[in-house]
Amino acid sequence: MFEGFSLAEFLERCGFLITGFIIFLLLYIFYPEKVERIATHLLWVFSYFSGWAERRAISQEVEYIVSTSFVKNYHLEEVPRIVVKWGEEDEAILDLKKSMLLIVLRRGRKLRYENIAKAILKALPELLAPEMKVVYDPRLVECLSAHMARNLVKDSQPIVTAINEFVASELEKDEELRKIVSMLVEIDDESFLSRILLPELIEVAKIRYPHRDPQIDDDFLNLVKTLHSIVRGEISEPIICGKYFRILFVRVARPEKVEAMLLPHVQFVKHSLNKCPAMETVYVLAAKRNIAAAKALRMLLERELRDMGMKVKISEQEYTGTYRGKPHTKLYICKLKMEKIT
Amino acid sequence: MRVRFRDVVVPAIGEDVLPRVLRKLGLYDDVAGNMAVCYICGEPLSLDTIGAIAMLNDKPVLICNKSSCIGKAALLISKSQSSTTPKVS
Repeated sequence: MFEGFSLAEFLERCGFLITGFIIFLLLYIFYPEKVERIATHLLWVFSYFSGWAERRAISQEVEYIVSTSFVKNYHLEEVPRIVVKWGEEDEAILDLKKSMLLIVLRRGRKLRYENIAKAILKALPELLAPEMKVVYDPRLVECLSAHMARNLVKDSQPIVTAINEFVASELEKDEELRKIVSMLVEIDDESFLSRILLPELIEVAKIRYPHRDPQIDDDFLNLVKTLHSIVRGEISEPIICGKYFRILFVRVARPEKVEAMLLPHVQFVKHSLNKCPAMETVYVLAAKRNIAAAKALRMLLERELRDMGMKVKISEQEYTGTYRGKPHTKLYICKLKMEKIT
Repeated sequence: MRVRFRDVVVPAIGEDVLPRVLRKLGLYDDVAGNMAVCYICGEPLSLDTIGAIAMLNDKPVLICNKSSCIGKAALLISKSQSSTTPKVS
């Protein structure tokens, strides 16, 4: 290869490096999250000696915390990735004119969480897709973003405290927003925020964008209130038949395990469809041992709805979450999206 | 499900760059002379307590270190920045 240095010799000498690189590459392919976490820790170690490493560590950690938690907690197709862009004075002034807000980050590991909190607070209004802010009342979207941001950083108490300080200052004058945020917390406890509320809101926002109809906010609130009542077990007919959201929730309870006993649920769906002919979505919800019954109900409903001349698109999720305060409970959500065949 | 990433850029400067940026924006003397205040809460500012710089109506303003002030400034900017005028239908 080089003079007096054959390829075999080169490979022999660089063997460790090449093997190390291949191992690193394989680890990154199979465990990207863990490798990124380790890389961030290493950068924090190097940050004792280098300002560059500290800047990289802050950028990497913010990006890691937000994107990874978003992917883990919120089952969305589009996930925000916070990119901290460091600049010298001229670049910073250009960025300031473009982005309108420039954050000042301090040196020192003691201020690590304060710096990360600043970056997340700056990015908070952009955590959700831009269509959301246009289609819904920005105050409602802010509540949602603030709650989500708090949830994303729940493992870092100092950052949660910083976001809480902001949320408290924003909500101190608004009793209604305070109520909505507390409802969102309860809805999220049962994972309905990430699995039902957000996907529904995003779906409608995508269709409606860039049109804004103030009536959509009532539908938004109605959806939040209905989900909150379901979580608390306080609702007998969980139907939303608004202009933008037409959803029926069917919670499968224990006695309905045998096929015959599932019929009341089927009847309830039929009755609800008569009441709200424009119904578009049915969610079948179940926990623990009732999941098997819920799956049987899903099959029954699919057949019934097809017989009624509808095209049904099904998506199921089985996961572990908190149910009525009990963590690590097996839960099930099945979404039946209906479309009338014309 | 295939996840798409949407970049949210957060421009930042280190504290070492801050005096130079303030000089270029013509705010350094105010800060050095203890005349600068936080645009949100009105607290007096020094070089150590500036948390962010915002551009409002083409005029640079300073924001203090408090999380509530930075969050409020971000919301204020986001509202003023939403260039897409929603169509009321």
